[in-house]
Amino acid sequence: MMNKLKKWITTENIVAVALFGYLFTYPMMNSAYRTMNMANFLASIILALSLALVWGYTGIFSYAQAAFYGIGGYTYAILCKNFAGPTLTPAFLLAAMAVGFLAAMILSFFMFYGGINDVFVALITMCVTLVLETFLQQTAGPQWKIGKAALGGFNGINSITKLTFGSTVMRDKNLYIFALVLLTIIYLGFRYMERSKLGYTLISIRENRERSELFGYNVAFIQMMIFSVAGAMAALAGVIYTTWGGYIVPTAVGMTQATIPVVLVAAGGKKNSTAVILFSLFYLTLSQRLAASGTQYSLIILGAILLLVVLFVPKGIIHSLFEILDEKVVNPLLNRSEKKGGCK
Amino acid sequence: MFSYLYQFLDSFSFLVLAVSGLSIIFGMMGIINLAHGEFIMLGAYAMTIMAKASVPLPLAIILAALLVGLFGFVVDKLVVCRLYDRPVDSVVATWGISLLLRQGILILLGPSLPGLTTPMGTFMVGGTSYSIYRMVLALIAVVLLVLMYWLFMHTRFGLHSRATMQNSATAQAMGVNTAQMYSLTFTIGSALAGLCGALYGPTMTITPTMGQAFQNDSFVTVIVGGANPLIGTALSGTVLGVIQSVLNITMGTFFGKMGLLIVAIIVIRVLPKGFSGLVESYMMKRKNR
Amino acid sequence: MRTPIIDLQHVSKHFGGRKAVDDVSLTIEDGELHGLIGPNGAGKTTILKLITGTYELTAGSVHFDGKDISKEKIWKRVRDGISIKMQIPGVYHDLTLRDNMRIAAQRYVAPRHLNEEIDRLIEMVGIQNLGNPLVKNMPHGQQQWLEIAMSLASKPRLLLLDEPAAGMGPEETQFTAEIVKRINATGMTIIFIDHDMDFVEQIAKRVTVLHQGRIFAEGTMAEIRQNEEVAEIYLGKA
Repeated sequence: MMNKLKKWITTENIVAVALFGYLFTYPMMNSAYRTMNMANFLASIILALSLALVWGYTGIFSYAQAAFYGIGGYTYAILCKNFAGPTLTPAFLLAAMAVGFLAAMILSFFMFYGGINDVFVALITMCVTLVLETFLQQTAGPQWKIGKAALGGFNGINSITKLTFGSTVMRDKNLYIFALVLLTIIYLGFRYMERSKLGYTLISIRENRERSELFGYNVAFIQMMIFSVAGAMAALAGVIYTTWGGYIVPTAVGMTQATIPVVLVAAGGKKNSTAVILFSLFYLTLSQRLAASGTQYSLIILGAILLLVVLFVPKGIIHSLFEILDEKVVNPLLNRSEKKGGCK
Repeated sequence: MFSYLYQFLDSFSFLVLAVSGLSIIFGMMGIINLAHGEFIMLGAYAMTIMAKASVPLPLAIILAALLVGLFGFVVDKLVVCRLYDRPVDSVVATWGISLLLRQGILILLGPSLPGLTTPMGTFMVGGTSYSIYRMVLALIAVVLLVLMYWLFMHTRFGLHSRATMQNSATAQAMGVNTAQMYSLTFTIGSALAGLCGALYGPTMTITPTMGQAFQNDSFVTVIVGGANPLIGTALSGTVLGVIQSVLNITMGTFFGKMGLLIVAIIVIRVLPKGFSGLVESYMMKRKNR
Repeated sequence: MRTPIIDLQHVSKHFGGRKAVDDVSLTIEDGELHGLIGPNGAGKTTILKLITGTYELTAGSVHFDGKDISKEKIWKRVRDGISIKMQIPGVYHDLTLRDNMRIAAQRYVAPRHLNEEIDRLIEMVGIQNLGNPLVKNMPHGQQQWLEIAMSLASKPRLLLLDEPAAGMGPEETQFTAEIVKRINATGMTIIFIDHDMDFVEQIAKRVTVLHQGRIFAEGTMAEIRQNEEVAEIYLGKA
């Protein structure tokens, strides 16, 4: 029994417990304002995890997660403007995720079944994000609307009904708990997947696509499905963000927005969901403090982190730390030699 | 009628001048330099600063190009050379560099520099006035293409470049110093970007984000053109020039931008090697008939 | 009567101007241990890749167990019963030996039997004493044996081995020969490529010689050994 328990003692797991402990007790220890603020961060973390899923775990570099984030937000907003009544909003949430899933499926079908991979996927997804952003920016005129929802050009859509379950409006602490519960479910999903058949399938595709197909894996199909799931996840993040702020604008879809998950995932550790969450919390908090103090340095820091990580710590700062701590501290303490398998 | 021609020449020269640097780097090394727009911006800044310091315009332009080339050399030595075999990572890294440059210039030199006025004045056709300078740029674009052709086809450097582009392992075995080739290519590519910025500088507002205007179009043109900097650039510059000018005139510049991006998406899917690949396979088929 | 398990009819593969495989017709019977030999560039690996579907046919057809698979996707062919060990080891270098096996086997066996099955495959090939190292730390020969074990996981009816003894010394080559014979004894058809003529002679019943994309000669190894023209093509005279 002790041995079984010992198996679970790794730096990553210790950090995960501490992390979620912190997150679950956050509302009790902080003001409503700060809790609400955190809710937005949680949306960004879910977005980052969607990129980790396709890039870190499956080897598909997608610049389009921001596009699906925006599609989720806009779909929710458009539905809210067309069909009044807060009670339908959960359905809108599901619809937004479905649209995100579908959009991702169409794009990924186009790419993967056409044999497109690697750099070209990066380029196509980048172009898609740019097209979407450009398109949304020029929708200022009154002719640009879907049903009753005017797309609003640069100003986007405002005064969007917040997500409401029954009579509970998702604001402040409620939104935070809602987002946190979703994040926890997603996170547990990731952790379970890593050791499962799906997890190993994704690794095999990431490591050597052609070889994996020669073991019988229908690579294009799997890539498409994972990309679509990631699209739905990004759309979910978009809806949370839209409910948080009550608005959605084209910059949510832009290249700068697209870069943030890339930094979070690359610098945290793209193959490790815990590392991504930890680094994201750290980075988002820090950059908000920097922006609040009126500095223009946050983009400099972003660019520098990106550069330094890619060059010197390609595995990700936090992920590398997990491994170093495991090797030097945890395993010696437990008299255990490293024999890890799985996604890491 | 003339307005279409003018628009076309304007788009064509813009694309060719903006793209040549990027396409040489892509063709040689398979790396998409996402900081390309920022190199162009640096060229514009360098030229403007020198011109304001009373350096004659043509000299300022050439010096600016050289300075940016030097900067590119440094960037290659520090960053890019470690990523020759990691194309996706180089996309991420150059994006980081572009952020640093944009924000860095903003912090160092403020949100804009007082610019120059477009030299050479205007000429009239059918009641509308057009800029002479922009026509001169079109001429320079053509001269550049001719120069590139000469360089690649009739010099030893060009021979080595083409060999390395086709098959770097073999070229290396034949004694071509591929690492040096890559370095030189990145430097030249950067200088060309600087040249573009310096040439267009007098016609634009000098801001840290001005490179972004060139960025999307350049990288679309490179993708559509493919790895051959000559054929690819010329062909895609032409085709995209037509598409963009038609869209600009009929539906406005937003749709011009979107049109190019959509063409890029389709081309990547249908012709991943771009026009270069198309031409290459056509020539192979002819050779084997 | 033995039924042909793989039947190539007038198969060609052109790359741009180069004819890598030119009008090859070849039939392999079920249960055969068949060698494909020939000088470098003769088209041997290309033929294997045409069978797996990695390359598309320029002309001709491929039938597997009576079914035309010419247009089938790679993963479908693998699930139908074709498997390959590649020339350059197709293993996952950054993963452990057992993780490699897991990836190869998890599609073909229920999760609760997975570990058992991995053990069985490892033993069949004879690498059970290697422990569970990271594959990139394993010597080349052991990587090749691992890949053979992985290629057996899909329970193939046809196993393609591209240079299974490449780069191996005499003892390792012998070990590999034993592995191949052992697998063939279970009824699996094997087509293999190799340059080591002693190795080929040890295990192959029949042999096909390829030269410049075409079939140059066929027969038992003894016959081929005596064929002067075959010797000449190896020495570059033909």
